[in-house]
Amino acid sequence: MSTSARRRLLRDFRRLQNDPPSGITGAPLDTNIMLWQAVIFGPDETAWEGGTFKLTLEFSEDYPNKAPSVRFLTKMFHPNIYNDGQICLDILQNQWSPIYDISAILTSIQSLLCDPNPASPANSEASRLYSENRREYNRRVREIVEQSWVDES
Amino acid sequence: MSEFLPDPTGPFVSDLFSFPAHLLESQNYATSSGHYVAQLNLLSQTYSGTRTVMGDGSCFYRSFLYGLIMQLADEGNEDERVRIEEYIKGSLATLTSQGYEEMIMEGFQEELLDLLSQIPPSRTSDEINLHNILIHPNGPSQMSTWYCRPLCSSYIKSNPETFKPVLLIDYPSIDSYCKSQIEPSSVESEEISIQAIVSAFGVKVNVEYLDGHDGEKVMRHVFGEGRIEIDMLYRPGHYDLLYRK
Repeated sequence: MSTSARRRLLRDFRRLQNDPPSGITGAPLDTNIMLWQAVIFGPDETAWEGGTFKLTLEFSEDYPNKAPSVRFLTKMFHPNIYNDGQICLDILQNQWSPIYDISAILTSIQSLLCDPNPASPANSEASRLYSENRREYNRRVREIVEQSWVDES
Repeated sequence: MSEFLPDPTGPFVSDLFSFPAHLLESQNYATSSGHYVAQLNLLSQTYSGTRTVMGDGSCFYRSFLYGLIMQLADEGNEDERVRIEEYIKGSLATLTSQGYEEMIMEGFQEELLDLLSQIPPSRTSDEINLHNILIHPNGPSQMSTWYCRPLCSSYIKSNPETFKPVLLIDYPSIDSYCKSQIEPSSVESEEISIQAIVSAFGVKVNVEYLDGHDGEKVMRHVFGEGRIEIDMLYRPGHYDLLYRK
């Protein structure tokens, strides 16, 4: 069935293929265009370098008027990412706008990795270490990076 | 003031109900301490009908688009339909030149052009059909409604001298205002964005301001000018459509 949500997802897919942002891949499941898997690669020259972080994006028929539900499958350690992989990011919540396509969503999450928002903590330990003990924080992040290579979640 | 907000899960735009009886029955104005009932009765000298609009943060844009599309179906408004269609056709190039992603914006523009193409030659014969297209949850109306937001941003960006003096008091730049106050789906419109959208479309909007302050009078705010006039009722936090006697 061609609904505006599905038409838009095809458009998002075309844009992601034609103009792929660096360090990001994503595609819908073969059987369901409303469910996507994506991988964000940790940005170079940061503690996240070398990490391969898997996510799922779940879209409803209200997309793009409503944000998709986005979750990390890979275990993360980050001030704005909950233990269950949910992400605290304004554009996925109250600042959502249909202007953000899949490419833009994943790019924003990628920049959130290195640029956390201390005002909205989702992981209190990561928040605390990020502001009080950056050295230990970076060590924990590098542990997550190494785990991401073996994680088969 | 959220006590007057309609159900956000209702239809985008309701059937036509009699005014003010429907609002008095469905909202708790009567038990409120303000002079709402007196103000509604004053307005009943001018208006006899209302359509309530979903309260999801887009009620102004939804009321605006609904009111506009319905009137474009009126015989005698053929010129206006052509003019608006030309404006929408040209809007993509303007948005792209202002930095909006063409491929994304094109998707919205196509939905609005699709909606405009479904306007029947005569409203009298097909009003219900057009109403059903406009309230269909998976039809072109939802994306068309949101497209009014970038059109609004685009007008502000094209006319910075008009908007800059007001906007730069509270926002670091026009871009940041548009990004945070116009383009997110759940952010309600305010005077600046209303001024911009009516000017962008060349349409007049009259807003009856139901504030409950004074039972002897109701303030009417008039935005823009144009042959098409859309009447709305504002109660703090929400817009609905009004129809004259």
